[in-house]
Amino acid sequence: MSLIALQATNPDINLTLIAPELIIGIAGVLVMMIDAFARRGQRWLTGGLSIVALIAAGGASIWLGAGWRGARSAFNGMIVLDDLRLSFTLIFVVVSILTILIAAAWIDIEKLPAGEFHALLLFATCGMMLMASAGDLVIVFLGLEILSIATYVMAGFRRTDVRSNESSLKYFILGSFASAFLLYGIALIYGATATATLPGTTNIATIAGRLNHSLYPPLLLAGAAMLLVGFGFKIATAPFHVWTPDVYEGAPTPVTAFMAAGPKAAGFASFMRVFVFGFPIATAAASTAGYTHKSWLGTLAIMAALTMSVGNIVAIVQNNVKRMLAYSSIAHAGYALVGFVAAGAATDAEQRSAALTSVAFYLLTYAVMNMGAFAIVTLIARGNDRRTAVEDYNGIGFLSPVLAFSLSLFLLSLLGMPLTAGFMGKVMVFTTAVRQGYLWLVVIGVLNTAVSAYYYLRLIIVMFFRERNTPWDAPRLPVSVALALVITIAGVFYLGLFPGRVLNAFGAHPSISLSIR
Amino acid sequence: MSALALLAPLNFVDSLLLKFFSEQTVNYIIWPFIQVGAVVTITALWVAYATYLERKISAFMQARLGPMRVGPWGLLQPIADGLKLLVKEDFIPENADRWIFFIAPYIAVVAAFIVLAVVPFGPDWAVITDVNIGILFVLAVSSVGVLALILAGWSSNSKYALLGALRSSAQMVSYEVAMGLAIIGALMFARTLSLSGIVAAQQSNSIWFLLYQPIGFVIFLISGIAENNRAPFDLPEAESELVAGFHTEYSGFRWSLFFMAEYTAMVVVTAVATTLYLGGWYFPFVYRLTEAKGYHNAYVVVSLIVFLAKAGLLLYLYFWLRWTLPRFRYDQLMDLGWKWLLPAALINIVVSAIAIVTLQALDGSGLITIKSMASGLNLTAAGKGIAIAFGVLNLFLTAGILSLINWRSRDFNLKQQRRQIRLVDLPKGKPAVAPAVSEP
Amino acid sequence: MLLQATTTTAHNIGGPGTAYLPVMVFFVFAVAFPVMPLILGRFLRPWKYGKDKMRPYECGIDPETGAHDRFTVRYYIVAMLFLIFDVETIFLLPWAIIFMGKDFSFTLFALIEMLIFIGILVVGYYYAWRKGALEWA
Repeated sequence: MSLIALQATNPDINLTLIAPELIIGIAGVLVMMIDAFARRGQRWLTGGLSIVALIAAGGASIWLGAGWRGARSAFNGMIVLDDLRLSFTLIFVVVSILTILIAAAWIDIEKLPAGEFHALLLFATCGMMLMASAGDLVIVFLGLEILSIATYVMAGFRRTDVRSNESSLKYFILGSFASAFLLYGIALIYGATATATLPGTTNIATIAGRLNHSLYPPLLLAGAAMLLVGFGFKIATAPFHVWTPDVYEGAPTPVTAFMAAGPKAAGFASFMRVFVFGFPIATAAASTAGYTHKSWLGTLAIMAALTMSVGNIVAIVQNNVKRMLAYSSIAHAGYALVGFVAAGAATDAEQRSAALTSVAFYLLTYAVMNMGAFAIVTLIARGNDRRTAVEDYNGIGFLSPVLAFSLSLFLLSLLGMPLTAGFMGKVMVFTTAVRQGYLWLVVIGVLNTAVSAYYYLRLIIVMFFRERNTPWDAPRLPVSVALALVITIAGVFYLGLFPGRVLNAFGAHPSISLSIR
Repeated sequence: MSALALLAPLNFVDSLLLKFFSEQTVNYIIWPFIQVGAVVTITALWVAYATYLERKISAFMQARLGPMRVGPWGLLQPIADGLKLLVKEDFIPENADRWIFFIAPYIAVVAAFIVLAVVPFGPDWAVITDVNIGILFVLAVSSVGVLALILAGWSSNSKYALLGALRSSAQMVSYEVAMGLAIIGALMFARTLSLSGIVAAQQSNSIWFLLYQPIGFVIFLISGIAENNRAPFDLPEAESELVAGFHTEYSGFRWSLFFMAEYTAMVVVTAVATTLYLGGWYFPFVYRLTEAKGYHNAYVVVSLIVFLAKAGLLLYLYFWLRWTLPRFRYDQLMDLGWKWLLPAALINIVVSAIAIVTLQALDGSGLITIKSMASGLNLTAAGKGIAIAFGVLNLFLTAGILSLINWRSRDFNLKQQRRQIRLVDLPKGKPAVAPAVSEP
Repeated sequence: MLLQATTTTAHNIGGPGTAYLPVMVFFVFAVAFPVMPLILGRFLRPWKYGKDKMRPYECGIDPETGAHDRFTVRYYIVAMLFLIFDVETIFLLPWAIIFMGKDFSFTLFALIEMLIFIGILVVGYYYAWRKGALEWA
């Protein structure tokens, strides 16, 4: 009880620690208001302000990292500051900036309200950042809801299009269902972590400490399983992935790009924090904590294998580029899960940190190449997402060389060609997994990469070696999209050739080490 | 004195009951039973005679006589009406959702009635129960009434009923917002949610919160009338367009239940308004003349009469308004709720908070404004003066801000709009129809 | 001043547990009161079936379609706005009670908190206004 009294008297408010979230949130409100007041000609204003705010938020998180002195937390452990948060915050910033750049042309073509889109995007970013910085399941849920509600609306942003509406509604219904799972899981864990003298807790670090003192171990397992389902839905792992293709196909292409990169990374951030730090590896394998850890790790390893395989094999038969990229995104979540499993299995803090860094790095590389690919898909699809079938790419290779070559580069990177970012990401993830003894998972991963070569290369072949029967009017390359392409191409090469700096930055501030005895 | 002697047996009954039952049972079951019985009976009588009053008052306002045939001055008219309703067919349209159709009127009546349980009609035994979240209880339970209307309109399977239900729910919901925000100003001075506590705060301070909260009172009253769907806000039952709104398909006694709910809800709104802003049963000098001299039961009875008189005055306002003001248009209704009353309520909250902060700041700087904070905010004469000054200031501030933000509204600033209409460019080319107004 | 505790005497004081017993009693009364006349009325009132009589009233014309049709989206918007503001009210109620603290610094803190809270609300409110959510026609 004294703990509660202490918390009640000392709210532990630290606004600097949530500076990035605050900047984004306030900018979102500002953008909303500008949208309500500005005239039609001032559309660039909201986009510009959003990008400035995102850059400021990125700067703030770098500044937070630079001024970092040991593990820090605020709001009674609800917000934490470690490399997991900082690296993911940077990923979100990159994703959101690229989304704004890609969407600029699309908004003009479709004549959509730009301000609303930017405001929603900023709110979604705020939610993602909160998910990454959450040290408490309640904040995880809060961030998830802020993110989800904004994303549901964005998926249905093209109001007059039936597919967009369908996508939005499907996402909303299934997403709320998953959120309910998550919430029930949180509730069960709260109940399970209650001890004879103390009430339950939702604080992730405290949960880890209470695992072996739980009065109701089965409840703990049930709660963890529900969390697994909820997060599994959000990052689209294999048994819970079925919503992805429909939603990604129907949603406007820039929004699809955002959904595949941003919310997925945010889901990973929370997922990893909750499971790696909330149910950490235990020295005594026979204890409740050990059993819980073993259970989720085993499940997750199987899910990783399943996700990779399902994503890649089903992607082969897709004839719609957006659908294909959706399945590819499922497969990539599977690769990232391999690193996650390694982080869960790591026995010492250094290895765990390395594994977490590898996942963050993987998701950054995926975000960069995915955004690049989707930028070109947006351009080629034109208004109303008309041209997204594989046939629409017939023989455009030498008609629009810039687009075709960039798309080929991104596809090769997604495949994992050496010298590109995708290769480096896979190497990092697989190395950590091998180090933790998950060789079988890595073998499945490599086999899957081979499978994925079929559909990635198929699109390249279609672009360069197939005859075109229909006339081709090359899309104009707007400045904003060109900028996005420059950034992503540079990113693909930079991350593929010189990953050291980014990796160092991502792993500079390892999280607090927790081990259950 | 003889009247007071009649009240003495109450204590005797109490002691008699205590011989047979435990104190708990007597206090929380048996006395409430008697009180509730009295309240329900009186309310039922009120409902019956409210129809009579309504007809009489409207008749007098229109220089008629009203019901005169049944009994002296038509006094037995409500009883005749009740009997008629009782023997009328209880009609259910085909394809109606039978169970919901059956239950909706009950929900309306029960929701309207139960609120009366927490209203302090007077001190001591005139209080049925003093729930510590009284005002929240009032807001929560009275909003259940909206459900009844929706269910009634939906289950009737009639277009008029559905439209009426939608309109009424949107209207009630809109005005509930303003109502809920309006009372917050008064609560800041009362510092309690209990309705008895609010009256006690006004009594111990010898003031009515009306003086501190003029804007709050006006907002509360207007939204209360709108909540009751009474004229000039009776759009849900607008007979000229919607036949009878949500109860188009109801007949007989079941129909009368809706009326009962409406009149009971009127009592509730007036009672709560009285409690919050008019001091409840508190009236100057009553305490000093009765309780202080030892006549406890007389004190209660006089206070009860005071309460009923205040509520009665407000109830008369309902009839008065009904026969004075024309019905609103629907967009005007929504405008009033969302663009006038809601901002006014927000301004009221801010100004009241600033008033209290000022009072405390002045108290700290030497001028004694606050006497105590034990029962509500107990102010000295200087403090009261400042609080009232803030209330008056709030009147002007609210008027100014509201007219500022509603400057372009359609039903405001007609002069400017006329000027703008004249400035509108006529479309080029020859109009298909010659303009009605010939320009010189 | 007239500071007395007459408002709450022995049989009226009630905590959350006991204070609601009279409400329950009232509930019983409130249910019984409308039900009894209706049961009584069963023996008095007629009931005759008539095909035309059973139709929903539509000014004498036979209804062509069912009544449960689509209606304007504005009702939903009003419902959503209501939700937002009602939750706001519920948050402000306890605030109003504890607003004035013993020391001035707390009161000032509470005032600023409320101004921020209402400020955020007003931003949303004004946005809704600008976007035409409050316009009915």
